[in-house]
Amino acid sequence: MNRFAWLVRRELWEHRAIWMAPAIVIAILLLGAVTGNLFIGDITVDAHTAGAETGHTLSKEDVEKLKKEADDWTVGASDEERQAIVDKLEKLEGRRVVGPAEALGLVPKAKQLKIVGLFYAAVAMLVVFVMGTIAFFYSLDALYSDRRDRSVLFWKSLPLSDAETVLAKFFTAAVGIPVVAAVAALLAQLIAAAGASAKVAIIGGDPSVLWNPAVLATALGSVGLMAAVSVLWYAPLVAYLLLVSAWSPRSPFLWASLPPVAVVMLERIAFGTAYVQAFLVHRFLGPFKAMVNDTSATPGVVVRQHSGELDITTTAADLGGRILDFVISPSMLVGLLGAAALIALAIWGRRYREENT
Amino acid sequence: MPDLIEATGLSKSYGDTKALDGVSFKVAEGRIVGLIGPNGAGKTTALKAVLGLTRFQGTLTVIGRDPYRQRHELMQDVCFIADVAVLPRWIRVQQVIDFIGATHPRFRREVCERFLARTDIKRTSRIKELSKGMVTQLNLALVIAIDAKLLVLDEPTLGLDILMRKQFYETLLNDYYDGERTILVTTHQVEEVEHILTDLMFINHGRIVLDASMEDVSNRYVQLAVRPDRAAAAQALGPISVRQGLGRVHMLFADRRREELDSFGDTGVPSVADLFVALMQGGQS
Repeated sequence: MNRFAWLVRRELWEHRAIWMAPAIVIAILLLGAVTGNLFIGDITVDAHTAGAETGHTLSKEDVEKLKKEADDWTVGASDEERQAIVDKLEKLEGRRVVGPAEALGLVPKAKQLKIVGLFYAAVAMLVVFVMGTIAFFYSLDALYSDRRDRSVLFWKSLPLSDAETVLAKFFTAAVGIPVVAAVAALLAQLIAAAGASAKVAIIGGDPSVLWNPAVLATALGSVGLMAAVSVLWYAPLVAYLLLVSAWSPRSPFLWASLPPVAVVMLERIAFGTAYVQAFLVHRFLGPFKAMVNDTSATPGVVVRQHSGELDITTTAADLGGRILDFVISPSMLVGLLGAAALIALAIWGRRYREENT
Repeated sequence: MPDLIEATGLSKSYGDTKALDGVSFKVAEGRIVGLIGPNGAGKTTALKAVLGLTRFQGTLTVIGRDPYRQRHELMQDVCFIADVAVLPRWIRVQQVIDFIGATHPRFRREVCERFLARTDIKRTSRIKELSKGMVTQLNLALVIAIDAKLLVLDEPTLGLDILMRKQFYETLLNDYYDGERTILVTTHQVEEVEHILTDLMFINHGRIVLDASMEDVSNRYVQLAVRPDRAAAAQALGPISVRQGLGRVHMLFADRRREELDSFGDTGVPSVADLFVALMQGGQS
């Protein structure tokens, strides 16, 4: 193992949350899966709202509701395809729904797939949120905590350059944490899907919808893609936080957050505009907005046919295209240049700042 | 022996306070130098400059390098212990050994292991779980395992009890010092280091007040214990300090031959502490 790897390893020793937090999330999901508490609840809820309760006789209104739903969820389907669904649903009037499995079955396949896509996305977002929070506070702490407790004197007594040290910390936050997050999100998705499948199977439903190859591939693929994009997109944010961490005399959180908040408020008061705010939101949420900003409300899942058979090449190409547009956008490139400058300042701070603490 | 540290006109200000005011000194290889001074005299600033931890005016070469610009290269040959508080509290004993072993080319792991085997320190403990004495032992184990040319100690025994302090310096002399290595130490506990020092440097208000080898000190300064009735006569010889003792007046003379003073009472080599007090008071008046 080379020196750089040891430096990164040291970060993981010190900041155990980087691997313990995802481990805890996964453990909780596992527990949920084993105890049968994981469920793609939305599908049953929707079946209920459609009046498709067990032992319930479907009224005209129930059917109208289902038809309206089917309408919403068959965007892109041809008129004939849509008509076929409507015809099928109309035959349901006056029928009794005999079990939860059938209730589930009444939800249009396309909608089921959408919900499954959302389910995968929600599980991934849970992990992303946890890891994002960790990355934020790790970066703020990385060059500050050892100045606060004076252990910086110990680290500086070793033949390691300040540049190496800062770069290892940058690498940990900007690359290490996204990689851990991606692996954890993939595991979490698979565990959650397994748990939900078991539950669906127990009530007599067909769990295969959870393992639809197109949805699964899109869900897992977007996690990998997002991790890669995050590395590039969040580099300047990490570098900014490291810079604050290297320089702030105390309370790096306030030093990092108050100036941007003050600028946003001043802009609002002075000009009545919100450009800075828009910029900050873009910097924080950019990739996520790029993923979901689409007529289809589900990240990465584009349902094109009423049958629910997703065209995987279309969805992947669509998602990939949007992400690629995002990656080669000017703001991404400007951000990377900014990150390099901020890191250089952080290295300088690491070297210079010590004497004042 | 070549000079390991060469400082010329070293200055450093914090605001209006001059921590170092045009200090020049040299430290030759193989010496054990005590840098002694009252609080705020500039000791720590001088050490920080030597370690490349602070910027300064003037020129400073440590083992042929500019410490501020080439700190990480310099640190292959320099070892540093500040008071025991600087080891990171979260790290485990095994981790700190592994990390130094992996990043320090001069770390001799077996030396460290051998030393630690004589202690009760558990490898799995975190630093914060160790007693102060154990942290000192661990620090020593790490330092003596690094084959450095220069060891810098900044108040290394601060907050330790007298047994630990004694053990610290004994270990340093027995297990580390080999006559070629150089040690630069600052401390308030002068009595504990004076018998191991080869050179003495007093610093006050950012200036060097005394820079001499211990031989020079014992040649140059004479302590005289004189009976009160002869004190006036001795006073005429111009002592640099006079202190009233029990039935004796203690005087400290500079540049007086011992034979001149023998007739007044008992002469001897002054302790570093007495010399320190004498020179510091002299500097203030």
